Amino acid sequence: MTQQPIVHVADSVLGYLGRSVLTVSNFRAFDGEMVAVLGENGSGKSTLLLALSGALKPIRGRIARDVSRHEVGYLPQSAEIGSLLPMTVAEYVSLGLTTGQRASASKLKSALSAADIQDLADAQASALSGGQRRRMMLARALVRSPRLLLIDEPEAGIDTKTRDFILVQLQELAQRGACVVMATHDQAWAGLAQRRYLLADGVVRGEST
Amino acid sequence: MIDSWYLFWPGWVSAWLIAGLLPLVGIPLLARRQVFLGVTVAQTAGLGVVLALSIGAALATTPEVQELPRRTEPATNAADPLDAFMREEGIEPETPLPETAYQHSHQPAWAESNWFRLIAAMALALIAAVATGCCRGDAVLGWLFVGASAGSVLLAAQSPHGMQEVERLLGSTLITATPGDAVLLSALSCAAVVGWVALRRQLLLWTLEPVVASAFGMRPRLTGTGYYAFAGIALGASMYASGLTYTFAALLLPLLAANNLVRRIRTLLILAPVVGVTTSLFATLVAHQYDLPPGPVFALLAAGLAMLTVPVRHFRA
Repeated sequence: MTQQPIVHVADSVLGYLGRSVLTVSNFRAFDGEMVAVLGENGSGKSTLLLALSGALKPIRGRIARDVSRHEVGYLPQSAEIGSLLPMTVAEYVSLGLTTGQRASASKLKSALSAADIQDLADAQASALSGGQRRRMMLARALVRSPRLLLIDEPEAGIDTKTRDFILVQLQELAQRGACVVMATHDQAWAGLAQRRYLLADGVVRGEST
Repeated sequence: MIDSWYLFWPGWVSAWLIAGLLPLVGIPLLARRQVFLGVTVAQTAGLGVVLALSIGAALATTPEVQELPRRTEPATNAADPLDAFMREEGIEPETPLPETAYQHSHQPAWAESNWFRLIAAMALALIAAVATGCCRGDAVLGWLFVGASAGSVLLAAQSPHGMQEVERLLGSTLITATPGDAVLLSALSCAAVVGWVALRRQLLLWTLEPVVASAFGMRPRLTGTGYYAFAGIALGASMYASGLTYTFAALLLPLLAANNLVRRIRTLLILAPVVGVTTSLFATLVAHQYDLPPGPVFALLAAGLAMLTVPVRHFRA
């Protein structure tokens, strides 16, 4: 029996305000695998991730998703925490529990532990370092118990220790059956993926497994 | 203060309600660096009030010249609380009208009503808030503020009592607030509390990271429109009841003071309205005691409080 992809983009054009950014002839991702989306800056990686999440509607074509929006986790390149409002790390992570998700202390605690920031739960979110922020954002995505996790440039602004930690977490998540799609420049991260797509000149050039 | 309660309670109660309501409305504006949207929307609400006055004046019909009955006795009425107050304070009652002919114009009852002006204020404020909410820059807000200010003055210049209304709105005297304003502001305050209790996480995520909110299955455009529409209505109603100085001060200053004192957004949601209402209570007391307009007194007290709490923020950090 053929496995159903958790997300499938076929013959679609993605972009903003009617302006095409990326043409996708065939993109598939399955449960339990890690998928790397490679490409230069401006090649459309973030656009593809937003479209996979459902936040961006395709200009043309359609995206088949076998996952509820409530089961999607998303890590943008940077967090807009802002220093104007007081907010603890725990409060920031709990923002992942927005729609169709019940807030519970145990869920929050386990997400903080998974990102190894349980000691920072009461710290001010805006006072964290770059690596700690990345972990905090990972915790916010994990608190949703995602079946589809989308990560935009996981290697951005983190040290080796954080990088190794996040990699292990992503692999464990995939082993538990979730699909992890990461947009990256880094061949080392891409090497861990079971499926790779290369984006260039506004099109998805090819798929390799 | 208690002996004047029956005269001024609508203004005081409206002021306290506004001071509790607007800090809740202001949280997303502060976080999204859009605080000047508050003053612009309030100014646009002022334009709505003057526009309503002008419409009323334009619809007025002038009847035949008529003789008004001569009043030979001072007009006092034992049952009228204003007359009773004037008697207590030793203020001379109204002088008899001279025997002369008056020409009096008549506006339709709806055009003369408070509700018409209030609805005009809220409608323009709502439109302004929703239309400018998507703008992250100050330029459009500046453009609208200047346009609304100039438009108000020009319209008021052509309208009977128009300039008085502009002065009232700028001065924040709060004396013209009605029981209806207080009821409306109570309802808006309840709605703001319910909104934050029910949608706290959604509102915060939309405020801070609308793209992530969308990826998490929220509808940020709908949330944004809903929030800005509510902010417009709240600012319009506040502007009508209390004027520009008080409205903008209540939107921003208690929030800044509370923001300096707390570490959690949850605590901020409770403390900001408490700071607003407490400062407003004190301001109305001081204003009453020294016969000052309460709006500017509140603004100065709240500004001082916000400044005094700055060192706490640094200590907390």
